[in-house]
Amino acid sequence: MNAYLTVSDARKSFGAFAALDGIALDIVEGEFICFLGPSGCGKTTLLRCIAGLESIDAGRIVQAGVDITQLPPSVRDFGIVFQSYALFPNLSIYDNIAYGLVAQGQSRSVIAERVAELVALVGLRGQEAKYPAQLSGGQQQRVALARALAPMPGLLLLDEPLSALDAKVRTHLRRELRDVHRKVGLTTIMVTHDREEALTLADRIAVMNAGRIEQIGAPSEIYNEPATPFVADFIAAMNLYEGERAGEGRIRCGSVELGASRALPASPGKLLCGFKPEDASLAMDAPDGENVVSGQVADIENIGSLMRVYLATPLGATDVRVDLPFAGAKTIPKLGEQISIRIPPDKILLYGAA
Amino acid sequence: MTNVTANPARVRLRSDRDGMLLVALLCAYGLFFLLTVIVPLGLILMRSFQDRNGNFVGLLNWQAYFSSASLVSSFGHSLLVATVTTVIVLFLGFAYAYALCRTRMPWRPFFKIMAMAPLLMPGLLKAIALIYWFGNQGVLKDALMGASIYGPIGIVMASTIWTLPHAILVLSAAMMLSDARLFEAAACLRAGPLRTFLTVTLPGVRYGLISTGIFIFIRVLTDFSIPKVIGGNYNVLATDIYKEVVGQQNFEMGAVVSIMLLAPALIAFLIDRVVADGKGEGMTARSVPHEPKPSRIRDMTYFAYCAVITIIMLAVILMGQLAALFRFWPYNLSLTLDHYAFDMQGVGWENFWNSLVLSVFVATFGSILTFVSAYLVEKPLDHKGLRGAIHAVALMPMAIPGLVLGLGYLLFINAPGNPLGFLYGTISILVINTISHYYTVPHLTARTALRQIDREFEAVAASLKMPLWRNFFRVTVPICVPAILDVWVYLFLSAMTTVSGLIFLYGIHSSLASLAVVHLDESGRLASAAAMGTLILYACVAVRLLHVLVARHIIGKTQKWRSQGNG
Repeated sequence: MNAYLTVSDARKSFGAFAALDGIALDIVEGEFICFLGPSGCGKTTLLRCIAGLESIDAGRIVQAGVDITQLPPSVRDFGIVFQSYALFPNLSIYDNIAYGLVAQGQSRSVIAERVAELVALVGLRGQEAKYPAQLSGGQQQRVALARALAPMPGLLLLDEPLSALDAKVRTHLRRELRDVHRKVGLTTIMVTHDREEALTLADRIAVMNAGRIEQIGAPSEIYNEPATPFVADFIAAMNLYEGERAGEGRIRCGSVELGASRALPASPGKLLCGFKPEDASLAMDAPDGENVVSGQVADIENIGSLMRVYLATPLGATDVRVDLPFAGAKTIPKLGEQISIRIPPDKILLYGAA
Repeated sequence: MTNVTANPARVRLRSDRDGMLLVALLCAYGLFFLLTVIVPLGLILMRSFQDRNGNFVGLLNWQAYFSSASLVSSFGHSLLVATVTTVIVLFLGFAYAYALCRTRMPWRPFFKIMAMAPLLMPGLLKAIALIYWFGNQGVLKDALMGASIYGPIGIVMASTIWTLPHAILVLSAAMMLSDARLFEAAACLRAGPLRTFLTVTLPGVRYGLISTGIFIFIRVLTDFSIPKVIGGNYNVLATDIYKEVVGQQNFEMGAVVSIMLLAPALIAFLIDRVVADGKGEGMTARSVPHEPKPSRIRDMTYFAYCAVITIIMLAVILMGQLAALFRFWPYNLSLTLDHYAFDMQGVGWENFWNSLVLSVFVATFGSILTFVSAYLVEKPLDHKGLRGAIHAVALMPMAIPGLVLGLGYLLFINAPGNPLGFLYGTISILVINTISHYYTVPHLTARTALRQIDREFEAVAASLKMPLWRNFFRVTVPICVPAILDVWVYLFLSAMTTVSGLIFLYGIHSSLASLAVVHLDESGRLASAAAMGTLILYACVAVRLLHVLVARHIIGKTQKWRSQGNG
């Protein structure tokens, strides 16, 4: 695997706050990678360091075989799209897209051809003469994308490009972004705090927390096999309970003993046990069966095709979240009712407690 | 592992031309401020420890200063006059701004314009108008109940009229920024009017009040022209400097008094910076404007108040113009243009043309210089330390009294062996002095305008390989055209009316209208002084009107992107 961009042991701090705390990362050419994490995790700082808008205190960044660690942004090779679009308000859509081509000193006809191509790519044909203020947010973001793509950079950086848009436009633009990436095949890094965005768009996701990369991998890998409790909580919104070992393939959470078929962590001591809300199922007919837990319904949220049930159980102090499909449901739980759920042993993830 | 096939040539290792240009420009500004601010001030400090022949004499000059009762009393006078004026202006200005922003008083747009009208009138002319109203032969002399207008009363009155528009401007801007949602929240929580005032209104403008107060204090403390014309025998620091330097050629004592004037101004300025830092950039333009509910009693009370203030302002403005036209006040009130003939040695229409030339140069070069420095301080991605230093120096002129800076220039330009000595008495030195004296406000205005632009533009331009300077002309300048025009007008008006620093620097062929007012008044030709003052006034009014027309034309023609047409 040839790395197009390599970040090794990058560190940066703002005063006492370590924004980047030893980041190492290889990005393959043509890949779409997402930096995902909560605000303050360092994802935007990492992106800005790759662009040269911030400098790292230690470490190295190599792009296309060239050490760019010390280079100012104006001599690096990237296109960038910001959350605020940052379109030049006094220039028409045409001039915005042509901006980088003009800087390259391209001839008028080459510029016109390339702009026409990009306008078609992002679906804005006929809008070239307008000014940014005359376009909707979604359209402005497409202009920003076209402008970044115009000079054919080797790397595309997207800084929360969809966050300022409303939900419907966001979903729509997300698909277009995916399409554009498929057509152009450009190495792309996107920063986002929206896990759904990352899961649908990325070839690989780097989940970040407190200046570190917690896990990096394909969306399915991250979702199904979160490597740390943080990733489990952030990506899969898992139920996490403290537990302890209770013999071969068995654990105990609170007063409940459960079968857990996955390998126990090597380190001795306490465990964190997690399972996803959608992996648990109702087990009304077998309340005494294997891995069945009973609890009182504390709250119910209706989220479209699903209901999310909060159960007070002996597993621990926090309520268990269970997602149950409405379709084909034999029983609909009611508030205050006692119900039973089954947690499949192979769906229980085990982590060493910190 | 990092065996790369991806087009490596695209990451170009070309030299960082933007970075070099940036460093060169920042260093040029450093040199500019060194020569125009730091060296002149340093020379004043040095001179205060020297005798007439330039020998070091320790604290001898300072001892002489503190043993002279009349010189020391000026210090108290200056502080007293400045403090009293500040308190009066803050009360009057707050009430006026409140009436404009927080009531439904009728004629609000009219009162808004009227509050700004005195800005166009030089302080000198206001002082002369007050003399016509309240002086020895004034119409309303008896209203002072035996007290004399020539002294602290006159200085405070003229200074109040002079600074009130500034206070109203800043305070109403601060009140405009306050968020309607806070008033709604207070009302929903059943806060009464007094509680709302104390918990919402006042905290919202607290910083505006403090910075306005300090601004007025410094302006009045350091002003020279008003005490010169209306102060009579009441010594203040500014007139002392003038007397020592021009009257007695005692540069050493002039330097000592200068430092006595600089010190309180500098302290007030530093307090302002500390307060402003504590505030941060908290206020946003996104708050919802507050529209108060009508209340007949409140609205009519404020209407009466604003009407009284406006009538006083108008009375002063009108009298300033009549003073130039009356044949012989108060005995022959027929109107004449004779006073515009200026029959005094070294005073004439030439002064007025010089003033126009000076003001155009100051406004043009000043707006370019301040806009570029604000851009360098605010926008580039690199060289934070150097940029911070330039910003700090650019703030300094605000704290330096014009008269002090002028004396510093005089010492600098007359220093033996100075290759810049040929500038003495030229319009050029007057232009440089005026630009550096008025540097801070345009610099801050430009910076505010630049801060409202998306802060990622430079990052985008860098990613698109557009050189910094081309991006500056293609994007930044066009967006900031309105702010640049504002700065141009501000500098023009300031240069047109300023006296303080220039009184030490003008030559036979570079005397100005504002200086002529001082000289005409000195020689007792009050009506001619008023006539010259009105020329300044009319030039300022003309430029102001021109500004409105030009701004409308340019913005209509080149800024069509500002309109939010439907997509």
